[in-house]
Parts: sequence; C-alpha cells; structure tokens
Amino acid sequence: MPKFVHPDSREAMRSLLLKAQGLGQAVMPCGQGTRLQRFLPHATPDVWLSASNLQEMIWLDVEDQTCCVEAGMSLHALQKALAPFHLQLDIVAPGAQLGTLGGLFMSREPSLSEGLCGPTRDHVLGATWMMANGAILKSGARVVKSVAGYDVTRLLLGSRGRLAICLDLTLRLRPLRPDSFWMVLNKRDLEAPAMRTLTWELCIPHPQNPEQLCLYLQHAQRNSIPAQDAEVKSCKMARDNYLRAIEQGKHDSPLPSDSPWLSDIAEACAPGAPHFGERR
Amino acid sequence: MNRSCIEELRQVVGARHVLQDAASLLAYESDALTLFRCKPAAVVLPNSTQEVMAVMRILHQEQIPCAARGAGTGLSGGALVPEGGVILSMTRMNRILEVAEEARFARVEPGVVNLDLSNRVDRLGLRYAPDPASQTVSTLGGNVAENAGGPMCFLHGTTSNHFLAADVVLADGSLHHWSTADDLDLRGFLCGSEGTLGVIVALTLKLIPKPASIITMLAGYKDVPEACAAVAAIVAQGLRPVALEVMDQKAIQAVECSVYRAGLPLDAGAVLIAELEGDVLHVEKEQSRLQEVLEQFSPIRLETAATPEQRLAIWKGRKGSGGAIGQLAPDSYVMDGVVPRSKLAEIMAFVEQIEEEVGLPVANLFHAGDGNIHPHFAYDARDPRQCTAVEEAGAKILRKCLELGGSLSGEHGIGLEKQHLMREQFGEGEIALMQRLRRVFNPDDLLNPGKGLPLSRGCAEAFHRHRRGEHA
Repeated sequence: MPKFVHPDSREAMRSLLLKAQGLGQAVMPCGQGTRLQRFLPHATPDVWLSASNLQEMIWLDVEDQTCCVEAGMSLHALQKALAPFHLQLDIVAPGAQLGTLGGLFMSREPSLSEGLCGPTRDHVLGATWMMANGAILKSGARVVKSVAGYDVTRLLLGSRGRLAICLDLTLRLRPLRPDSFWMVLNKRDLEAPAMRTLTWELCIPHPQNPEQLCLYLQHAQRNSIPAQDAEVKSCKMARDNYLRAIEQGKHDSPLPSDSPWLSDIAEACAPGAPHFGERR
Repeated sequence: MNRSCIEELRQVVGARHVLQDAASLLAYESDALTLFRCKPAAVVLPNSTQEVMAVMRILHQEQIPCAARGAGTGLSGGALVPEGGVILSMTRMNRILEVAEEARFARVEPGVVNLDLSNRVDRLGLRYAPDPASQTVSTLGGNVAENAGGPMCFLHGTTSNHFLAADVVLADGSLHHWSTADDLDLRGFLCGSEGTLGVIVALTLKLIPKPASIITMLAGYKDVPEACAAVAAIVAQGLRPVALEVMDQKAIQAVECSVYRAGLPLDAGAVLIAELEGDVLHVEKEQSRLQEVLEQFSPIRLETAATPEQRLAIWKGRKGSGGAIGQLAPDSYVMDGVVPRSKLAEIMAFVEQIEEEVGLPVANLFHAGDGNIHPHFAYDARDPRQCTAVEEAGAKILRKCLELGGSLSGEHGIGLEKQHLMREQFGEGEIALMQRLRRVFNPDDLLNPGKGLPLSRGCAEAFHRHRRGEHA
C-alpha cells in the first residue's frame, strides 16, 4: 500500500482505513501534508490517509452566512468561492493555497486575525468525522448558536488527527470588510493608553524596520492613530513573507505534550479499534 | 445520607455551611425552570478549591451524586440532584483572583457574578463580553457550565469564545487545569457540559476593550414578521451589529407595565433593538446604513438612544422582560430553541399557531441575529393540565426548530427539560459517543446525573416522580 493514499470518496476512505487496520498497519489522517512537519513531526504511520480529494462545497447559505465544505478544500479556494457573495471566513493563516481546511483546523494553526476574529476553532459550527473504527459521526449544528450536547467539535478540532478524520466542516462566515486598510506603526506607540481600544485584523513585523509593525485595521480608525499610511504593496508582501516563515516553522511555539487523557478519549471515540497512529 | 457522611462534610466546610433543614433546602429544589423539582439531601457550600476536593472525595467514597450550582438561574432543570444527592453551592467562592490589564484576562472563582466582573474592569477600559439576561445575578461558573449567551453574542460569540482556562475538580476529588494551550481542547469540551464532567473551581476569562462608541437603535414595527424581515436585510447588507433583538407585543406590554419600563412603543406589534459598537467614525458610518435599512420596513417608530441612560433603559427593558412577563400568570415556562436566521419568520408563525392551540398566552423575545428564540409560556403550575400542555407545546416547537435545520438549545442547555428530545437532534452513534466521553471523566455518573443526554428509563422515572410538586 502506498505511503500516501488519497481516496475520492468517504466510502473509499473507510474501506482503505479498515483494510490497512486489517493488515496491522498504523494509519494517520492528513490533508495535503503541508503541516505534518510542524504539527506531527514524530508520527511514523504506515499509511497517511489524505482527505485532500474531498473538496466540494456541500452547501452555502448566503442569507444565514454559513457553509459546509469538505475538509480537502483549501482556504484560498473557499475565500474565492465566497467573495462573489461578499462573504469570507475570518481567518488569515499560512498554507492557504496548498494546505487543506481540514489540516488547518485539525492542527489548530493560528490565524493572524485571531486578535480581532478569534481563534480558528471559533469559526466552526459543526463537522462530520470518520472515527478509527470507520463510523461516520456528526458533531455540532448548522446554526450559529447551539449548546445541545457536548461540544465534541471543539474536542476533536486541534487533535491533529489522533482522534478522528475530519470529513467536512460547517463554518460561520462574516461579511467582507471592504474598508480595511494598512498602516505602519512604531511598536512603542502601540503601548500608549490611547491605543488600547485599537482593533486590527492583522499585525505583522515590518519587513525592513524591526521597530515597526504593519497593521491591517478595520473600519475608519485612520484619524485616531499616530501612524503613517503604508504602501499597500509592501505591507501585503510583509504579510506573505510572514505567512511563509510560519509555514517554514520559524514562528512556531513548541507543541504541547500529549494530553494524559488522549488514550482514554481515543478509546471512547472508537471502542476496540486501533487508535490512529497505532499498530495492532 | 448517613450521619457520619454529614459529619465529615461539616468538618470540611464548617457546620454552618452544610444545610439540611427543610426551609433551606426548599430554595435548592429547582432552578429557574420550576417545572422540575427535586429536594436534595443536603446543600454544601465550600469556600476553597481544597474544600471542594475534600467534599468530592467524601461523596465519591460514598457514591453520592452531586450537582454544582451557582445562582440557580438556569432554565433547563440543570442544577438538580436525584433523591439522596447533594447540591454543591459555589456562591461562597466569589473572589476575583487576578485582573491582567495588559494581557486582557481575569482569573475568577466560579461564584463571581457575571456583571460584577465587567464592573470591576470597567475603569481599565475593559469588559467581559457574554451578557446573559441574568447577568446581574448569574455566576460565571454557571455561565461556563451552560455556555451562556446573551444579546451581545451575535458579534462576540458565546461564553466558549471568552473562556480561556479552568481549574476543575473531578468526581474523585482530583484537581486538573484545562486551558486553550493544551494538547486537546478539554476546556472547550467542558464549556456547556452542564456540570457533568467536573466542578469548576477557578476560571480564566478573556476581557475585551470597551468600544469608543456605541449606538443603540429601537425600531417599532407592525408585527414580528416585519421585524424579522428587517433583521434579514441588516445582515444581508453586510452590517456587523453587536446585537439584534426582537420583542413581540406581549413582551412589550409586560415590560411597559413593570419596573423595567423602557418607553417601548405600545402600539407596535414588535420592536427591534439593534446596537453598533466600535470606533466613532465606523459607528457613525454604519449607523446611517443601519437607519436606511430599518426605514425600508416602514417602522411605526424609529429612534436612537440619545444618552447612555436611554441606552441602559432600553437594555434594562429587554433584559428585564423575562421577569416582567412573570406578571401574566403565576408561572412562566421560558423556552430556548434555535433556527437558521432565515427561518425566523416561519418558526414565529408556528409559535403563534401553537399558542392558539394551547390557549395560553405566549410572549416572545429573541436573539434574532442568532436565530435563537425564547417563547415564554404564561401558565399556572397548580393546574396539572396546564403543565402538561406547556411541556407538550414546548416539545412541538423544538421539533419544529429541528425540522427547520436548527437546534434544541442556543444557550439554556438541555438539562432535564430536553434530554428526551436529544435523539431527535442526534443519531444513536453521536449519543453513544457523548455518553462514552462523559464516562472518561465521570465514570460513575455521580456528577449531575441525568442531565444533558437521554436518560435511562429508571433514571428518568427517579426524576419525573418529582415533577410539578408531586413529591412529598
């Protein structure tokens, strides 16, 4: 069996999973593999089971500003599909072009717009999962607010493929912000009390001047900030360079050590089945 | 409960803080949903993490079920224990432990009242965003246990988005720290778990800057469908209000006849409260766009709160409306369901139809931006037929929410109230997964048993015997 397999359907994925397990092989889920080095550096499965061929937009509800997409779609492709409807997923993250949304959420990749829009998990309303025993289960809801049952979605997101394969994601979308703009600000100015109410979408180190930051600000804050207008092109370049550096692992904080609950939770997710990454 | 167990509990928390007399226990036999009542064997009021750990060890040893409780403002029959169980009242643990101004977080004990935290950090230019209507009394521990929402959650998200870490005592008395930095998001899993996984003894909560400018607009429309249409149009325009709230005529009238009087238009069939926040220029710009949209639906009255006092009066009316509706009948059954926002008009028409069928008044107020409805049935709990009627009507409305693609609860939780409907939202596989996950942390089902998930028949009977005052 090849090291990386890319099934075209859920059924094919399930049969590949069960077949590999039947052969005693360790299976780990993945997307395009762009984040494996950073988020699963020590995983050595026999088979990487990729959801990258599952790329459909299952539904888009423009009025309710929600959508459901398969986990193999890229962030870039999603944003492109949403733009004609003046909607977006409020996430700016590395690997937008090549990486998959499943990989982004399962690795808990930080979003650069986290300060304003919240961490990536806050944008997920529900999901469909394939457990290690091949069972397909849903979590969450398609509405923007639901507290029915445990928040299994949050438990499985960020679990780096050790608990379940992410098949699709129901996402909360937001309107595009057409009036955001770039500014350059001295780092020390950011500490001023007047800056406390400042909210920015992105805050990126200036490519040339280490004492400065490029800020992508929402709304019309131009008059209230002691900053100079920035050249949009250089700021965008700074953003792209920064994202690339993250992709290369240059800004990663150390991965947390495995949760002491991991094994028990994996067993609860798929009783009796080999856990992902485990040989039996 | 045997005498030696009570004695041990007294030694841990002090004799004054173990309540057993009938008068004291009466206050703990239900939460704010009085359809469900069950008198605990005792109420224990710990004052520290160590005391909670010691109490839990005693209860675990004796295999006594217990439920942690904050202010008892829950609306789903959550903080109740079956006969022989213990209520752990967290209200003495009400200290704000730390406020980190620069890093924008606060560490608090679970018994701190929601609004007290915002009041405490106000002078720092900060606030805590989730604002349930009960925020003047409900505790932050209870808010996390239920994943509480509130009007401002349309923009800022529910408690889960503002809850960074917790110290949790499990049923066996062990202490754990779960945070956003962990390998697995047990913190997220804990939020909204209705006290069935552990007892929260400390919380770290995100604080956000107070906005430089807030604009609150009030629009009166001829009926609820018009108000819902205005909500849809606001969202479709790409506006990002912080709150979009609707109240129907019965709710308006109840408020205007109460101490929460807010000057709402009595001739309107519905009012829409829309609030914007942000920096001054942004809010000014959005306000004119918002006003344009609101005017498109021919409002009977359209006004903007001219002063902070007027704004507060509007919100006092909105947040006090649940209490004001209490005037309509001796009891009130507050429901909580969610539909996709585009289905709001449809679900509200269905609620009206149910109201006619049942023949009891229903007042409506809802978080329109989130599609989160709260029909309030006014009834008399002394009449068993009315009790049955409102329960059945509630179930019909929730089933309709599910049919429209929604959820059984947006912010009140499942508790005892809705556990029998969980299999209609989730499949057997999903329910079984949740049950197995519960057992990882609460293997003997001692923590708030019977809540959140479908009950076994025996357990259901144990609770149902105690409904509607049927207990001795």
